[in-house]
Amino acid sequence: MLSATVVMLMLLCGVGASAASNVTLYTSVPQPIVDAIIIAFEAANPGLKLQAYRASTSNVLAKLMAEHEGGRVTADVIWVADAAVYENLKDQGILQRYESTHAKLIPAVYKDADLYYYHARLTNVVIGYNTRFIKGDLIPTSWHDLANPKFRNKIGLSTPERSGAFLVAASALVNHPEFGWSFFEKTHANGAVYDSNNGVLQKVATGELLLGVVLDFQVREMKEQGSPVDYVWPKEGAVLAPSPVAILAKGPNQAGARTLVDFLLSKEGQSKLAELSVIPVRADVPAPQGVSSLQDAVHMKVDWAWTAANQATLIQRFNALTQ
Amino acid sequence: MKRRVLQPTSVLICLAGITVAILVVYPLSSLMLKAFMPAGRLSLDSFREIFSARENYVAFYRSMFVSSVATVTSTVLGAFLAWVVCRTDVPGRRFFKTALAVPLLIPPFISAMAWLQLVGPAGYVNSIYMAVRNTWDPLFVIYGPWAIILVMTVSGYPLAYLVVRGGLERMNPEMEEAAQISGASVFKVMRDVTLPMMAPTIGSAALLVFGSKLENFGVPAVMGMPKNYFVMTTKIYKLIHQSFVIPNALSLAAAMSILLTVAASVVLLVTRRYLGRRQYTVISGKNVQPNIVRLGRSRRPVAAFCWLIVITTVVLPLAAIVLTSLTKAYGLPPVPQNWSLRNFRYVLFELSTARRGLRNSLMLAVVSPTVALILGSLIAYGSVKTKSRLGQALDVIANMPYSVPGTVFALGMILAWNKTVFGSLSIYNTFWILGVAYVARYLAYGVRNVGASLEQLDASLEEAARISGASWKWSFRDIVIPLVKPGLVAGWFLVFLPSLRELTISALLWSPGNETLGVAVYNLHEGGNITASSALAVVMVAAVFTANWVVKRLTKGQVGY
Repeated sequence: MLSATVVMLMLLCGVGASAASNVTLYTSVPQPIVDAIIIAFEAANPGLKLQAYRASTSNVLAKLMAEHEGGRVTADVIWVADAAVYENLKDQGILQRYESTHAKLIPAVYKDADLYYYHARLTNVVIGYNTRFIKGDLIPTSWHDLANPKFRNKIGLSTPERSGAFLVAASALVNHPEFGWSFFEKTHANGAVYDSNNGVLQKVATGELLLGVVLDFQVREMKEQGSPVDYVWPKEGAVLAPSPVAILAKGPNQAGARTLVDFLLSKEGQSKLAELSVIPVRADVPAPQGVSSLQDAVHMKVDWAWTAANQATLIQRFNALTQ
Repeated sequence: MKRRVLQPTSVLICLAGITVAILVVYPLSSLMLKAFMPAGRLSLDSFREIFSARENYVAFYRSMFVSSVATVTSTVLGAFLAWVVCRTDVPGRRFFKTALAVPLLIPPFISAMAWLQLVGPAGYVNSIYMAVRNTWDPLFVIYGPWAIILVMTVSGYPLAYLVVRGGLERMNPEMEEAAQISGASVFKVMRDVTLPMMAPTIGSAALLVFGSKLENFGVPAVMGMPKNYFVMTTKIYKLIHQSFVIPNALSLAAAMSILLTVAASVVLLVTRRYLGRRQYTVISGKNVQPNIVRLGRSRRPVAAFCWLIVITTVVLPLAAIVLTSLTKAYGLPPVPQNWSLRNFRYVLFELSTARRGLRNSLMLAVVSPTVALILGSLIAYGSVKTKSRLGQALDVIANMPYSVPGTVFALGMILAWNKTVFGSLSIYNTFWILGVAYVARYLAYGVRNVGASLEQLDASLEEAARISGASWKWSFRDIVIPLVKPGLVAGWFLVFLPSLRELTISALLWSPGNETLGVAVYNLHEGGNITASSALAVVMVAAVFTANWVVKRLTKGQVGY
């Protein structure tokens, strides 16, 4: 009786839809972008269904590692914001090398020399602020403004654990002679609130916070919708945080994975991202409105090898400091 | 010669035993193994590591602190309101009787979201103040422990209220009457007669509240995590998601889970011990019309207080969340020119995770009570009727997933199923890990509800049927089933409602394509899309309220609030 019920219910729910037509993406890209990519990808590739697990970079990686150790990888493609982690994954044999049909059109700085991963979008970590309260002289100009007592209890940061992009920014800041770890001690003492990148931005929008470390494209999106937010490019430079896409060696649908990577790097895919205010990696796709050319912008130096080697310590030290 | 016939009952009980072993014993023992044998052999290293970090003591202390304070506030408030509704002539009694239980329907994490929007640093109250005074300094900041306690009280008092109300309704009012006739004042009767007689009931209400607060994940996740204020449940959740950074994170999470379970059990046992010594025979069984206390001049203030509770715990949070869901972009003032149905269009038609969440939650809400009740009935039958040792052991084991905190059980499920078993079989990353976890978690309801009905069913009835020539199957169908049916129906709905609004377990077991409604709301909130998460929360609350209304109709008021 019991097993009969279970079998019946399983049939009712249609378990075991054919796996070959499903492509599974593990990503930390914000939900609206994921939604748009799913629609565009499925329209461009009839017969293929794209499923996405969207969570913070560390949640995605934890899930991936648990599956890898258990010997059952569900994901075909990984697309998170922490570029440093891809070197580790590559060394551990988790990634699959793939020469995309678009590989030649991606500038060398935006792809792995061995073609194990490609940067599929570029984000800048900047300082966002509430335009209703912050005007004129109050508009921040430097990362140091986050430690300014004028904004006490009104500043927001993500954490390297919640956000891969923030991890890259933290790496740049702690290794910068002008900042170092004392910078985060100061911001913490200044009453920093910790949330996801978008959570910080939402709080800045309501006025709960006045300043926050945010991602430029999310600010552009919200501003366009009418929220009272904007961002500044700190004079010491913003932090460029690319988010690479790669195929998983043990993923169940290798062909589907290749189709997805090609789509994301295609002119069509990159244009779709640019529509959503994301900076494209291809030179033949125009940057979204309001974005100055990347060549002119000042970026802080990121030591990728150091970031890759010290990822865990960075997270733990940051957590201990902000506990 | 006597031939040994395999009894159909024993076959069924054996089947139930195997199912329980897979559903309950396997995940819980996987958890124990991970905690005590982190590297394949017996070692206490994980515990040593837990005990060597100060932040773990902090999380433990915080869990105990918020749960204890919230238990006291919830119980005092709930017991007082129960007394008002049952024993006084407060105007609008009948309305309050139902209205005061309504917050139980709002999932605690949605309540937390609503309260953040209401009194958070940029909540509606502070926004109005900041706009009027033209300042960016809020009137007050509520976050962290006191915010958690506030929301836990708001969502916790109805539980205490219901338990105490049930006790008061069944309590023999003769003692109170005697005291009153002897000239004792209203206050004296309440203090010297009602309160001491109700003490054991109030105590068990407090225990129930404490257990549910200690294991709550949603409220500290919404109100504590942004301020890095971690309690045990959120700490375990965080550890599980750190396995990329901390290689032995899962062992540490398992060890921490065991500590949390031990803490919960110790509190439970100590209090039960204490309560056990002070049992009063107060319940007379018959429903007597109790003496009504005339409040006199206090009538209006007491009624006003009840109104205040209903408004602050039901009306205001729901209004806040509806208002936010209608706002075009977050951060804009919620005035009519900024209203739009865009968020609802997004969550209902564009966001595939939300649609799947709705579908999956509805499916789980039907599947899990059905299977939990069937399995629970078999176990209850084995335990109560056949009195076999296996049956009684199964009864105890079946209650375990509900006795341990949800986060702990979910971790057990992860550890049990994240590897392949029997070749390539695994339910990890499928809809079925949710289904199996829900069934195991709510199995206790099935066993208890059916068990209670079975205990009242005399064996002579079944024996009479068997003697008259009815086969086991027929006697079961015609005697046992009809008599336990009310228990089955009540139990089914008691599982249906919590399955619909579950978050704690789903938050750890969901996978792409297999989201639940609670997960979809929480993920939207966590990702910072407050307007969309509010819209989906409105949908979820509407679904739960509708389900409750239907359930109440179908059971003629026996189940539902």
